[in-house]
Amino acid sequence: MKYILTFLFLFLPIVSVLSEQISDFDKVRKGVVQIRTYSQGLDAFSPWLTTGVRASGGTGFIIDKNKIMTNAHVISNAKYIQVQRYNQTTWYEVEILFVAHDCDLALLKAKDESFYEDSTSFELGAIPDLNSSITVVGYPIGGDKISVSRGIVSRKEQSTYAHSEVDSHLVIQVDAAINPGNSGGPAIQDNKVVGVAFQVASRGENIGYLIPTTVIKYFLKDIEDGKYDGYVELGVRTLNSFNNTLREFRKIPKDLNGVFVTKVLKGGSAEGFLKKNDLLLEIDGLPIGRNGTIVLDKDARIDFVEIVDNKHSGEQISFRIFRDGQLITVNFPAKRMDEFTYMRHKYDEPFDYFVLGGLVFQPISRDLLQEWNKNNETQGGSQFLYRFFYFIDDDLCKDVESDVILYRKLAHPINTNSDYFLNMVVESVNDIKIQNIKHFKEIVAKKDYSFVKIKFRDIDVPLILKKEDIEKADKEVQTIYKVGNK
Amino acid sequence: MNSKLLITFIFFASAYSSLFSLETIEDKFKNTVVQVKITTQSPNFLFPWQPKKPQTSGAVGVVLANKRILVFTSLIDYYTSIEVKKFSSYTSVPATVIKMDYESNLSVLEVSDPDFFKDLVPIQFETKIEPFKPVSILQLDNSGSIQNSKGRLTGIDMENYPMGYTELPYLHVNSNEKLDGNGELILDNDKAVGVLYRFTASKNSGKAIPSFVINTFIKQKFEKTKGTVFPFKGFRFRPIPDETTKEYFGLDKKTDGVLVAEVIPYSSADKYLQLNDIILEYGGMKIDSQGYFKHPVYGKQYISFLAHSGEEFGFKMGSKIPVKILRNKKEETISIPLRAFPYKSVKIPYMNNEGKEPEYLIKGGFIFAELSEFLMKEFGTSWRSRIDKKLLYLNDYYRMNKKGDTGRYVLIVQVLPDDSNNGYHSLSFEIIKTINGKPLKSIRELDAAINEGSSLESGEGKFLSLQTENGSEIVLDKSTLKEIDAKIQKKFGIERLKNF
Repeated sequence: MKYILTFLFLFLPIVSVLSEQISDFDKVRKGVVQIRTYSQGLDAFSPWLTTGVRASGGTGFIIDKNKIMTNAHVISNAKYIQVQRYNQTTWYEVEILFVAHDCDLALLKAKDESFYEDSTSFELGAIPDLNSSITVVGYPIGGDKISVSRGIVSRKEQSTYAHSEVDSHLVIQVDAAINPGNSGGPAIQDNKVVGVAFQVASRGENIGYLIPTTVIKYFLKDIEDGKYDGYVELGVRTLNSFNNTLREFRKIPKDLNGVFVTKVLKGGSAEGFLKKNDLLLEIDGLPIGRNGTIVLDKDARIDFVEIVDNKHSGEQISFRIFRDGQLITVNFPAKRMDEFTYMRHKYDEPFDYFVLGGLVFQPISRDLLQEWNKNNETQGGSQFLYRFFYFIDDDLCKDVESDVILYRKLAHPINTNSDYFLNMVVESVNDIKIQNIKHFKEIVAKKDYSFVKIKFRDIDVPLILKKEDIEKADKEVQTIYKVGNK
Repeated sequence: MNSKLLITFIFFASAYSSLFSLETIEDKFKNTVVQVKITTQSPNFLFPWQPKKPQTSGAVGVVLANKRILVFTSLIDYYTSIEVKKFSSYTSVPATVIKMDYESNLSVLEVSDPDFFKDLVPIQFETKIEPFKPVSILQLDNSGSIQNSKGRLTGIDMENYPMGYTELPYLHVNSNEKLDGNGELILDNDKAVGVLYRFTASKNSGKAIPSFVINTFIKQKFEKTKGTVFPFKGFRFRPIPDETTKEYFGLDKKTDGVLVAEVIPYSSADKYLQLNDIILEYGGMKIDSQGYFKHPVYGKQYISFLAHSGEEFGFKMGSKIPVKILRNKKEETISIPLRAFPYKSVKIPYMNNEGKEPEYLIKGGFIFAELSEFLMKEFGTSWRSRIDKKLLYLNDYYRMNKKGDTGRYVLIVQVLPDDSNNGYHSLSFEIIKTINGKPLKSIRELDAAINEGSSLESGEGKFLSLQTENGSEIVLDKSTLKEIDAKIQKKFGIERLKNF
């Protein structure tokens, strides 16, 4: 997943143009929008500071007469966004209606209705067939004007969306030269939008990806109630059922296929309904193969979780399973899994942090991990790394809501001897188990003690600070480093 | 311009000085060092049924009394052949190893050819070192002739030698010349003060084993090939550096000490020291808040100096060391018998593998082995970023056994694909958590469980269930294993399916 970077695409026009297509294209370009974003991000390593204001460009398209669809990453951390269409002479300010970081989509609206004069509104099509051609329109680098390119649908599969780096949904892979700036642009087939250009593979040439209309429609349905809730998770790990010895041992009849459940994750939809060693045979009536795939359409078999991925919170999931020698049906509602939130990249909101005597604490997050990696601190960070990647799978999340890490210090005499504890995860403060950073702040803020004893995981010796020293140091740290607790 | 002139001038000056000293030193010491040629064949932890390519390297051997030669253990580990050659001769003669100590990195060779030592002169190592002095460093070039390089001792500190779990004192050596750290003899005015075991050319600095450590080593009787004469203190400590921490642990401002942070099971300190004991005095010496005592000659040295290399204070293997502690805010003096580092407390070997090949077992195409840092290091120099983070975490925090436990982690290194193990072909570096529902603690235990009832043709007993850390189950059918193993052995050309 790391090889996929978020960029936008562009297809080069190489097709002989028929007159009918010309008039089609005139309609198309009236619905494609150039987006200019001025963004200001935060630095996870120094969360009290902001990065500089950065200008970037992307593409969007009009749907539903006056709404502009684009990628979430085009407008992430935006402070000011403008749009312009083909042959317009001024830029129009837009507001963000909805953002979905877990599927990299956003919906915008121009504040001035005159932006939409003589515009085209797109309809959403179905998932295109393999080997069918599509046209991608957008405003990639290499010039200011609208750019058109054409490619072929080369593959359909589930893949990680680089924007959050965690969520995995259906993607449509197309063969095209891809350039930054195309992000959020429509892929068009038969005058309908069949995908949103959103990322490319950084290894290999001409591998670009579209967000399919199933995902776009999911997003549009989710926001009908006025807010975006996000995707649901099944929350199981599975093992194929190829192995004959394992089948014999578990007394699985020969004609049964499907996959074995190896782990049921805390907080997932399946918790309390599926069990370890269940053999999942069918989902919503679709037979699951021994490799865990179902038939989606004639083009490709796809992982069975795609069925769950298309469900909204509360919708029923139905499994036919083989458990303890019995064929049974298990139904349960799909639900979101907040446990995964910490693993996603964070946008548009500040990082939570806490400074205590110059020691800076933060909840473990992907952004912090990334910054930490940039600082090349590979030695000694294994506890942090392990707990980040195995927090859910190893049930660490059953013990604690969110890990708090002491990840850096702002040098001050009070913390001269604290280096030993850097990059360690807090276990308890004054013998009270810490559940999250909010809890940590509350415990430290209590008045009824003279020492703060912070015990970190996997090491027995605690860090000891004196309340009166902390109070004095906090003031000094605040003055010197311009950092305060929010 | 100016700087260029200056560099040239310095260069000439040093060239001259070494020219003058070379003759005298060379003459005096050419018969105290020998050239050692070692061929080693390291085990391949990733493909454990075959060794790595043999490698040949050179080292400096130091001539000892009783017709013995001193070399570094790190250079002869997994040796297949050792040859020695002296200054006056063009022929190499084979040598045999009579002692290999991983803790002190010192080994002793013997040469069966009685004539070999005829014109060789054994060296005497000094008992005391002046740690801040210019020194001569004797090395051998490719042709075997002696080179004398200039250097300077800049202090004494403690660290783990290349293969040892026991920290020992080392000499800081600075030199602007090209050195190898493969046994160069360090001389202070014709007196042997140490042997160089590491040199970083980019920093112009190296590390040497001090003469008093070598003396402790060569005094022993060399009865067994393995084993050490260097005791291990058996605990790790944390400084109590500030008044806040002192106050918290009930120490008054003027009293210094360190906190016992970990007690190694089966070690010297096991049963004597406890977590959170505060060590005030060790071996009769006052211990400061960082864990140093004041050595009469070498200045501030860590506690470990007294336990690991404390002969001059009367502490050696088997002797008792007095320790004054503060336990539950009460002072106590206890007496701890000093013992060697307990190898059975190591859960994930990381300094040395005791010269053994890693044990492996191939069953049903699954390659089983025990987790070690050497296995992880097969991923190359950037192994820490390439290895699974869980294994890295276990290696950093759980490589020592807890009290009462002596196990190792058993894992599937990879799978040799076959129809019988279909479904598991991409499995690698997966720890086996349980076998038939019970925790698995060694590869031998796994082997025994597989062999037990292997004649069963049917029924539940013919199955062996392995649960991996990630929740997967692997089932072996004992009745079919023999046939599968024979097939796999032939297909992949594996000589032995296990090595223990």
